[in-house]
Amino acid sequence: MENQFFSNTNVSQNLQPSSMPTWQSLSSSEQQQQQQNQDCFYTQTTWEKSTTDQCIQQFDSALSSMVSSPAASNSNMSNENFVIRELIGKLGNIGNCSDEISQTLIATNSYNTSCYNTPLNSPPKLNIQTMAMNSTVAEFSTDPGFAERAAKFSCFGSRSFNGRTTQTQLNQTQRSTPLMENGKLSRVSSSPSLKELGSQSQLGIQENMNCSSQLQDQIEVNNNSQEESTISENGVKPSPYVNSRKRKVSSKGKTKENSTSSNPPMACEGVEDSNSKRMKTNDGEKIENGKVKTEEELKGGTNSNDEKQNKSNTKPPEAPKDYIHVRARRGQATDSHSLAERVRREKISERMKLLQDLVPGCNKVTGKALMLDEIINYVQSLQRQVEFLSMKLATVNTRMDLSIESLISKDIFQPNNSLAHPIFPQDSSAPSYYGQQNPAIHNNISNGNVTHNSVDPLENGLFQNLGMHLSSLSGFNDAASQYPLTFSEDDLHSIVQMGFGQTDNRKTPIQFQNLNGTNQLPL
Amino acid sequence: MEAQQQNKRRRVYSMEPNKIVQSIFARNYLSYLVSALMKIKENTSSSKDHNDICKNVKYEVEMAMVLSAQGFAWSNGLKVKLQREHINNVATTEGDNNLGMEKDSVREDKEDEEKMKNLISLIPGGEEICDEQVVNELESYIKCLQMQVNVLQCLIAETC
Repeated sequence: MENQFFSNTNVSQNLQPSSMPTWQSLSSSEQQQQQQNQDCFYTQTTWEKSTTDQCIQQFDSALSSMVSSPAASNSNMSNENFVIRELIGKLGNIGNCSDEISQTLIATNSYNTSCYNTPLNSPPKLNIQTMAMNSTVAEFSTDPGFAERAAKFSCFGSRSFNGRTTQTQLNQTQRSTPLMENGKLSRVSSSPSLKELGSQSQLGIQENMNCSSQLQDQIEVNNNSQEESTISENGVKPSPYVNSRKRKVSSKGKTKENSTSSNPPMACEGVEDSNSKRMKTNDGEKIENGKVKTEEELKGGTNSNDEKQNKSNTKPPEAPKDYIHVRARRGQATDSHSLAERVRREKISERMKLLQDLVPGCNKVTGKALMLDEIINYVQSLQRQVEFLSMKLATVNTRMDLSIESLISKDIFQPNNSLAHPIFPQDSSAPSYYGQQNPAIHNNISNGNVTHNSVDPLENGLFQNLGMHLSSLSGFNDAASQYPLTFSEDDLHSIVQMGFGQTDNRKTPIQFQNLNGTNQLPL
Repeated sequence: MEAQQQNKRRRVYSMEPNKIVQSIFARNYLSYLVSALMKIKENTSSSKDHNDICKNVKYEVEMAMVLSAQGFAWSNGLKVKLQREHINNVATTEGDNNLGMEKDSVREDKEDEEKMKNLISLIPGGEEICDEQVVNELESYIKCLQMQVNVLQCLIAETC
C-alpha cells in the first residue's frame, strides 16, 4: 500500500494530463465508468492516507481539470458529474482530510451542479454553501426511501473505512480513528443528500446503489458502525434504539468506542427502524450537530475545552430519559462504574460548597481534602462540646432551682430562626471556641435596640440583654403568636429581679443574639 | 419533585426540614431537656454515682436533640444508637475516641473517599444515608449541633 501510495503520488502528477483525455473521450459504456470507479478507488486509497497539502492541491487541480474539461458532451458531463460527485462524496469521507478539504469538495460538487464556474473558492463561501446544503438536506430527510438509501450508502462508506483504517494507521492512534470514522460518517450521510440535490438524483443514487450492492452482505456490520456514528453524533440525544440498560457516551473516541464497536449484536437490535426513525426526526438537527461535533473533534481541541463544549452540547437536547449521559474526559476510565462514581463525586463536591458557609473558617480553605478535614474537625469539636456541656450540666443539675429553671426555659426561648450565640464570661471554663467576648458584646450593644439606659455596670449588661430581648421580641409578634408562650413585661421584670438577686454569684450575664439576625457572632 | 417522590419510597424524611427545625429547635430542645433534668434531679439521691447522673444527663441531652430535630436520617440514627446504648448503659464516646486516634494517621495520606467515610461515620447512623443526601444530612446535623451547644451553654450559664 505504501508503495502504491508513492507510485500513485508520482502518477497523479502525471494523472492530470492523462486523465483529461480519458475523461474527455468518455463514452457511455459501463466499462469506462467502472474504470473510473476503480480509479476513484485507487485515488481514494491514496488520498485517504495523505494529509498533506500537496495531496489536497493535487486533488483540487484534478477536480479543476475535470470540471473545466470543455469538450465533453452533455451526457458525458452528466456521467462525469456522477463520477465526480461520487468521488467527492467518497473523498469527503476520508478521515485524514480536514474540514477545509471536505468543504472544498462539497463546494466543488455544488459548483459542478452550478454553471461550472471556478471550482475552488474561498472558505467563507464554502461555509455558506455547506450550510445551504445542510438546510436543504432536511427536506430530503423525510423521504423514507432516502433514509434507506442514505443508510446503505453510509454503511458502504463506513464499511470501507472500517476495513481501511484497521490496516492503515498512519499518524493516527487507535483512539482517534473511530473519531475520524464518526467524522466521516457524518459526511457520508450528508453526501448522498448532496447528491440528491443534483439534477440527476435518481441515476446518481442508482450508481451508488450499484457500488454499495457489492458490499450488501456486510450491511449488518455497517449498520453497527452507523450505530457508532449515531452514538457519537447523537450522544447528546438519547436514541430510541438504545437498550434499556444504562448507557454512557464517551467523547473523542475513547476505548468506549472500541468497546461499543465490539458489541455488534447489541447494536443490531431494531437497527433498521431506528435508522429510519433517526433519519426522519433527527436529520436536520443531527447533521448540524454532527458537523458541529466533528468540527470540534477534528480541530483537536483541548480536553477541557472539548469537555466543556460537549457538556454545553449535552445540556440543551438532553431528554429526560431514565439514564444519565456522561462524557468521559480524556485519560480517564470509561467504565460505567467509574463514570457513575465520578458523577457521584462531582455532585458531592458541589454540595460541599454549601457546607463552607456552615463551618467557620472554611471559606479560606480551598480544595476538597482540606475542606473535608475542616468539616471533620468541626463536627468532632461540636460533639465534644456537647459532651462536655452535658457533663457540666450534670454537675450543675444538683444546684438548680426549679423556679428559675422554668423561667429560664421561657427566657431562652427564641422564636426566630436565627441561632442563639451566647457570649460566655471570660473566666468560665467554657471551651475556647467562644473566646471573643468583650468586643462581641460591644458590637452587639452598638447594633442592638437598647431601650434601657442603666448606669450600673453590673446591671448594665443584664438590662441591655433583656432590653434587647424584649424589644426584639416585640418586633416578632407574629412569630411569637404561633407559640403558646408569650412574653410579658411582668415576666421579664421578674426575671430581671431574679437576675439581680443572683448578681453576686452571677457572672456576666448571657447576652442574647439580636433576633433580627444581623448580629451573627462568630464562633 | 420526581426525585422527591422516588426518594419517598426509600425514606420518609422531608426534603427541607432545616427551616422547620431551626425555628423550633431551641424551644423543643429546652422544653424536653429541662423537664428531663428536673426529673433526674428529683430522682437523684445523694448516694447515686456521679457517673450515672452524667450518663443520664448525656442521654437526655441527646434524646432532646433527637426529638427536636425530627425528619433527618441522622436523628433516627441517633435515636437508634441511644436506645441501644441506654439498654446497655454503655458510654457513647467510642466513635469520637476512635476517630480521634485515627485522625493523625488519616490526615497524612488518605484520599478523599476515606475522609468522606470518616465524616459519614461521625454522623450518627451515617452509613445508612444514601450518598446524595449525605451533604444535606451533614448540613442539618452541623446546624443542630451548633444550636444544641448554644442552648446547653445558655442553660448552664443561667443556672450557675
